[in-house]
Amino acid sequence: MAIVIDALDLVRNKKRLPREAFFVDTNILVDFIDPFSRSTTDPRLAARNVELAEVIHPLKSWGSKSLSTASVALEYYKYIQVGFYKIETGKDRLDTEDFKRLRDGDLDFMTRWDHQLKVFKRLFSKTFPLLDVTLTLADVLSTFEGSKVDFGDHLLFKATLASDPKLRCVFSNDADFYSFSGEIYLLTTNRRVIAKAASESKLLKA
Amino acid sequence: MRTIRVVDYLGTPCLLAPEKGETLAAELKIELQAQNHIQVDFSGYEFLSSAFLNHAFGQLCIDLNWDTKTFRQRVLITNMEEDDLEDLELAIDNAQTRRGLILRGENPDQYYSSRLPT
Repeated sequence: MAIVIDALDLVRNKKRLPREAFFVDTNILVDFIDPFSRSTTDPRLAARNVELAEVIHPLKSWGSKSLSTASVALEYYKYIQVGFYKIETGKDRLDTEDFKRLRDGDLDFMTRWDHQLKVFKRLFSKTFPLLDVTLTLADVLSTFEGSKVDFGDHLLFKATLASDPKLRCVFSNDADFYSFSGEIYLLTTNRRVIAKAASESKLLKA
Repeated sequence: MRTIRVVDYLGTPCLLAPEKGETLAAELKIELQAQNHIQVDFSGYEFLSSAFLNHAFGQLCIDLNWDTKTFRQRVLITNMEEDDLEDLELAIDNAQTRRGLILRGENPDQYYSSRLPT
């Protein structure tokens, strides 16, 4: 089971992250970047956005490496592609052929999509650079319990475990990471996970 | 052209809370009634959030019914880091989408909720 770190407590009390880096999960990226500006009118999403900025900016400025994996990049890309298409067209689902037609021929669509891609590329090259991690695919599949966890979370967990022990920390607000068995730290702002970890003596103390 | 120095005006280099963005937007609206152009200087800031940008500049475009071109013509942003300028570009794009929805009589929150996971 992961050792949980209360992310807000860590930065507000200027404590040290016990690892040199953290890997971000897709839910953190979506809330931190807010690619469709939902925080404009949704106070709950605005609070999540501010909370994550309050954690990520100081950690990076204090020298922690912020990393991502190819599976997270793919999940984020699909999120913005599907969301962007649905918002721009008003349609209920992605029509990939129509997406390509708009991307290649509709100036407004092209310009706005280009801005999303610019942020996407910067995110995974600079803000949260992709780390090359070698996974044994047979192991990834044989250990995947699809009835319990999402495949994307499983891939991120496996990538974190396959990385240098100094880097084994995941920043996620998905409660599933708490139950993964392995020597990793789970950095989170999820109050329920933090409370559960505290009651089970799995919360990191300073 | 008048210059607003954001860090001095808001009294903090941490530009995170949406309320700070709203405060800046309110000042910009007052100034823009009196003059055509304004410079918004970000010298000395440390951190910026998307929520701040949405409330400061995205909401300004929506409230004043500005397209991207008008925003660029009337508001000059200086001393903002390149990465944050990209996030600002996204905030202005998204404000245009919201403007379009409002003009069509749609409620942006309902529209987004039915198309994006929360």
